[in-house]
Amino acid sequence: MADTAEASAAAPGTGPPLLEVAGVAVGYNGPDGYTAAVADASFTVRAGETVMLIGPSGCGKSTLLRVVAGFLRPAAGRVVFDGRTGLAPGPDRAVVFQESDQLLPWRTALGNVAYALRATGTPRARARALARDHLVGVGLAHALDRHPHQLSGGMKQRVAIARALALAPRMLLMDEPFGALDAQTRGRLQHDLAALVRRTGTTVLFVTHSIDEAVLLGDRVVVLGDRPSRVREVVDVAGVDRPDAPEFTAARRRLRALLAEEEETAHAPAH
Amino acid sequence: MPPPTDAPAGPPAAPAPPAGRRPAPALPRSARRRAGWGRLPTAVRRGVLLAALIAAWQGYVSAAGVSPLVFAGPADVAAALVAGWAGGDLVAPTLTTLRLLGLGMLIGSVLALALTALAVGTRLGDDLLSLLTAMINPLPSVAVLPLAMLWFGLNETALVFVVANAVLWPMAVSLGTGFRTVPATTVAVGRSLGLRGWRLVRDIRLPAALPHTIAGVRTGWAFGWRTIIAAELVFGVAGARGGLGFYINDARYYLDIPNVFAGLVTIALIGIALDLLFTAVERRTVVRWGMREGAAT
Amino acid sequence: MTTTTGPRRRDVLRGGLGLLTGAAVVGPLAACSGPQEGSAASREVAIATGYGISFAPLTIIEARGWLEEALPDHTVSWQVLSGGSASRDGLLAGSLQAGTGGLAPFLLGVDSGVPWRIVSGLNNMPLWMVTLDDRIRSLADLTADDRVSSPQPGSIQSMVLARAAREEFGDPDRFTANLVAMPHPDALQALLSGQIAAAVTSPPFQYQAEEEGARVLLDSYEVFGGPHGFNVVTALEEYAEANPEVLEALHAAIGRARDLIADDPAEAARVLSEAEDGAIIPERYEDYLTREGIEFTTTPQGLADLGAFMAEIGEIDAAAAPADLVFPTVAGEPVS
Repeated sequence: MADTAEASAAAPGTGPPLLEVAGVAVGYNGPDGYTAAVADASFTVRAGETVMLIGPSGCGKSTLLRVVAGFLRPAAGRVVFDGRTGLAPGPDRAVVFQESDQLLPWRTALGNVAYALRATGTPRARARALARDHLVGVGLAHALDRHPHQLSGGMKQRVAIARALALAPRMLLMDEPFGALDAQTRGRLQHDLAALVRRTGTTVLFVTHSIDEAVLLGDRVVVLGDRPSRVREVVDVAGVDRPDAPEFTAARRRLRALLAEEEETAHAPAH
Repeated sequence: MPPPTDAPAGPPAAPAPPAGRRPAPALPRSARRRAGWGRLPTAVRRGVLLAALIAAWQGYVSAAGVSPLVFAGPADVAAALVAGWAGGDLVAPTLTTLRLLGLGMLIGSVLALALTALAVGTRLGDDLLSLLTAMINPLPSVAVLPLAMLWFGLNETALVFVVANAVLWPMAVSLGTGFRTVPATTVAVGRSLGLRGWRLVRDIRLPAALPHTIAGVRTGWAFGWRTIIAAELVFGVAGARGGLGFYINDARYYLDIPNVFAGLVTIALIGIALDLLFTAVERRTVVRWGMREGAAT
Repeated sequence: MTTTTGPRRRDVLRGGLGLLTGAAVVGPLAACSGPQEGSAASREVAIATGYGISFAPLTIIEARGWLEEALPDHTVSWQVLSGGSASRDGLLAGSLQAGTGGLAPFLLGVDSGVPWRIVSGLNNMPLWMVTLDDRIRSLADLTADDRVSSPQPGSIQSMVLARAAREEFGDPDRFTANLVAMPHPDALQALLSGQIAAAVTSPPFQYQAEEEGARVLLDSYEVFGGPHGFNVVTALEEYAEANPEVLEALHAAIGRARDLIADDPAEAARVLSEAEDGAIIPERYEDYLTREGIEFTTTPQGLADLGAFMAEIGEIDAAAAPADLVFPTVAGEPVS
């Protein structure tokens, strides 16, 4: 996969917000009643930028992503996407999950992407052509006719990314997509994803628990606190993508400190 | 490089192996013998065993002078089979039985789909299906035949009814499990593509439930097959309208033991044939898609 | 619920193998417990019997203990069986020493090579075909959808229908597709509830049907041109050769029962009713016992005529002479 020059296009984060999350609270109804995961979250995502959502375990970052995707209704607050509210799930906010169940096992790699295109209105022949292009674009030209169970974990995630991008979404939602992969594969996929996003100018909202990944891939990092969570801080990491650079280390330290504080308050200190 | 074997017990102080190449360890005698038989392909091994058993069967019948009124040898049974299939005596009952089974399975499947849809859709439906299945599934459907004959009369409707009943409950259970175990992520993907309602069911839930569906149909067929044969035995329709169960019973009344065996063999062969069919279907779908454990890629 | 493909194929082959293995193993075992057990050394006398007036002599013998009297060294047991073929199978398997069954199944067995003969007749009875359906006034009114019951394929009732069909339509198999095999009590119930159009049955069921308003379509005495035997007591030749005294005692006891029924039907009816715990009151039984055409006898009759008919329609290969079908127990009687 060709690595395009960094000096590409408009700086991300200019223009009106594509996504506005304002005072959103969301939780679950369990046997003991309502449990709040997110108490009050507010942040924005502008067209073209990559925003990372990070926080301690159970802070509701995946839940927030699902609200934006349209799978959940917020208990309070407002979510405005592209000027609309009351969102249902749709291809304009294509999702890449962590689990390999996101690929349809009865279809080939090509079939998975082509089906997604057909289901959202693309005619059959064009869907196949587009599907092939996108799969080649993620480096899977040799695996088009394989079924998901014949693909490695990394290859499956590439297919999922290709499928999501083929839908030409307004925003790409990613829920810890590389969390189940080994370090080497993860590194390669992070690199390739960054290149793809740069080349296509896709807006991305990415949930992660890895500080390094957040700094590497993100333009801004939204740090959530402990459950019931609020946005603690938004750390700007635009342009910070070389792990050996001092800005990288500084950003990493800042994030680690923020998350460590959360951990401390979570487990009440002995003194 | 295989791990070196322990020095054999016996001669004390076995000499150390020379520096460099180690000698290959010898297989013990029993493993060598096993390797011989085990190396033959499966079909050959089964075929040889089958031939040996048939030979033993024939040998016993010929040598021990068993009364032909009680037991038939493979030669006579084979002759009866050929005569029955060539001459048509076995053909009509077989077709009758298959027809009744097919009808019963069709009705049972449709009802299973309906009940499952209800169960997956509503809590009440789920409770109802669980309760009915727990009560009715353990009951051999043949036991319902006398009641069915009272309700529907002495005709094929009663037979189709008990077959449908035998098929319905295991299929509904399998279908229900299949639908309920569709991975949430897969459904979420469907929804995020904008799929709703019937399209979501057709394109996502149904294919995802296919392994369980096939398993359900397979189990349903097994119950249905056993039920129709048993029901025909009990039902006793004479003449052209009887199935294989009646054929066996009739042959028994007339002390035609080779034909009793021929009927049994036919029943078994059909069972085997359909099992193979199911396996073939599975191989082409569920196995190819890696949706079963231990599938070959 | 998922398994692998490989073992599934093996299971399938194993299934087929299992069936043949099972047959190869069970069959010889079953055949092993054959007639050898019923030979001279055994003192067991197991006799097949049943309910109803067709078995009246045997019921009386059992109730009065006449056989135990005559055979003090033997253990007599009475087994109620579901029908003639169960009786035949019991004899072949060696679990019965004396069987009871109809005339036609007996002849069928002889033709198939069953090594048995008649020890004694039990009765001559007219067998009726009855219907409750107003539409059916004669055989011609029967359609392809009408069900007619008979106790089993190849029974004398089936022969009655076949003979009448041949008489009227020239085709003995005309109604074969209409026949449903049912025991008499079930047939009566099915007739009354309208599930079958007609039943070819026997006393007392045909009388009970008549009481409920059924019409008589056929009378076997008319179809066969005279009285004929209904049930007989049979035994295997091998057993008979080794135990002639048992069969003599049985034949004699049946004779005693016959005499009791003829001389004192009221008393016989009382015994029968008591044996069934009063399910049918003695007066009723007395009525049945004395109906026209019903005769209790030790002499098998109708063998030649029925045999000839069955051979003509291909039900058996050849009719044997009555003398070859009976044991010396009935020597001197007008066997026909």
